Amino acid sequence: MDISSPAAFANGGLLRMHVGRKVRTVLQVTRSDIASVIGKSTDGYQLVAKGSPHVPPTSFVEVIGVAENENTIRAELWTNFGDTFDASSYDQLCQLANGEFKHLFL
Amino acid sequence: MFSSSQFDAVSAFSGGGFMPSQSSHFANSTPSQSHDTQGLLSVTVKKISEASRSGDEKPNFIIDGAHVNNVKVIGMLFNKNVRSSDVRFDLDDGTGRVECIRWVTESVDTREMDALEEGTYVCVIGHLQSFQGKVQLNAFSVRPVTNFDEVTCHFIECIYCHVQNSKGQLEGGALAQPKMTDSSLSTPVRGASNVHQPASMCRRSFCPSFIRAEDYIYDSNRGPNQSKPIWSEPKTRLTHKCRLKGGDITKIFNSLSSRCQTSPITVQPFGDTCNKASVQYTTDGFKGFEKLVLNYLQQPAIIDREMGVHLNELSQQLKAPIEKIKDAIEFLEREGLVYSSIDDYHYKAVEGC
Repeated sequence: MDISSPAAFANGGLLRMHVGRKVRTVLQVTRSDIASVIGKSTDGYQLVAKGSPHVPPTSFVEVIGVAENENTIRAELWTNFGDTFDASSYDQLCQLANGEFKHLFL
Repeated sequence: MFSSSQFDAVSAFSGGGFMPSQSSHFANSTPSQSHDTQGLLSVTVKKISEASRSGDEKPNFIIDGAHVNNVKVIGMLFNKNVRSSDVRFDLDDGTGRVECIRWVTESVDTREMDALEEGTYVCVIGHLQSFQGKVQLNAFSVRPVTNFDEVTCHFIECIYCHVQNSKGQLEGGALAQPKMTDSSLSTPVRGASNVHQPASMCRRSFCPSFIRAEDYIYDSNRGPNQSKPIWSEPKTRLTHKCRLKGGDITKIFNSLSSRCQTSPITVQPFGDTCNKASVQYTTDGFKGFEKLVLNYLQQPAIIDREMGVHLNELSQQLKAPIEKIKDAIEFLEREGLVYSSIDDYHYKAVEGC
C-alpha cells in the first residue's frame, strides 16, 4: 500500500493552497488546443491544464497533476467525465476534503 | 444506490474463489448481529492504511472503531496483471494505492476483468486481508465507472461513514440507546468530538439518498452567496466555523442519486438511531400539499410496503394531478424526507422523520 503521493481535491479557489503539490480537479472545458486545455473550475474560476489529453476531451474532464500556480495545473492524467456532471456536488466535496475531513484524503 | 444491474450480487458472491462468510452482513444486518461489524463500508485507501487489526480468532480490520469486513473503493486501475487463477492490479483513489486481487475461476469473472482498461475508473468491492504483512483487497466485484457522479458520491459516502463511525467510537460502543438531546445545546466541535449524537451503526446500503447527516461541523470561509471564495487566508480559514445542516449532505446525495438514475439494492433506514431533536431539517416553505403527500407516505401501512407507493396511487388518493404530485415529491426528496425505491415512480418516506 502506498499513500505517499495523494492528489488533493481542488477547485479554483483552493488551488493556491496546493501549489507545487499533486491535485485533482474537474474542469468544464471551454477551449482546448495542442498544448493545453482551458476550462472553468467547479467554483467558476478559469483554470489552465497544461498538456494534451490522449482523446478529445468531453465537456467535463478530470485533471490530475501538479499545481504550478493558482490557476495552472501541469496535467499528468486526464479522464473524460462526460457531458453531464454535477459540478456543484463536486465543489462541495472539494470544500469538505480540504476542511474538516482533510485527514481522510491527505 | 446505483443500478442493481451494475452490481450483480449473485455473480459477485458465486465466483472469484472466495465465499465471504460474512455475506449475510452485506445483505441485511440487524443491530444485534452487527453492532460492531460493518456490512459494506465506503472508504478511502488512506483510511485503509490507518486501519488497525483486531486480535480476534478471525482477524478483522478496524476503521474508526468499527470492525470492517467488506469495503467499497473507487479509483483508477493500474498495473493489471493477468495470471492463470487471478488478476492483480493496483487501485489508486487519489489518497493512496492498494493492491487488489480478483480470483477468476469462471468465465464471468474473466469477462469482468477483461473489460477493464488501464487507467480507468473502477468500483471495487472486496474484503480486506493481510498477506505477508501487506494489506490487500480481495475483490469480488470490479466494475467500470460509467457515470462519474458516482466518484463524487463515493467520497461523500466515505466522509459520512467516517462521521457515523467516529461518533460510535467515542460513545464507547455502538449499542448505546438513543438519547434525547437538545440540538440547541450542541456546540461546534471538530470532527470526531461532535458526540451529541448517540452511537449509530453505519449500516450500509447502495442507496445513500435516504441518508440523513447528523449535525457536524466543517470549516469554511465561504458564504453561500459570495461569488469568490475566501480561502485566501489559510490561517484564518479555520476560525470561521459553519454548521453543515442535516439536510445538506442529503441534498448532495439526492442530487447525485437522481443524476445517476439509481435504484437501491438494499435500503436500510437509520430509523433506530434517528434522533429528531438533533436532526435539523428546514421546513421553511413546506407547503400544505407537500405535507399531505408526506403524511400519506408516513402511514404505518404505507411504510411497511417494501416497494413504496407509485405516483399514480398518490394522485388518486390525494385527488391531485400527477404533475402536482411530482413537484411535491421532488421537494420532499430534496429535503431528504422521501426517496425513490424500486424505480423512479415509487417512493417511500424516510423513517423516523
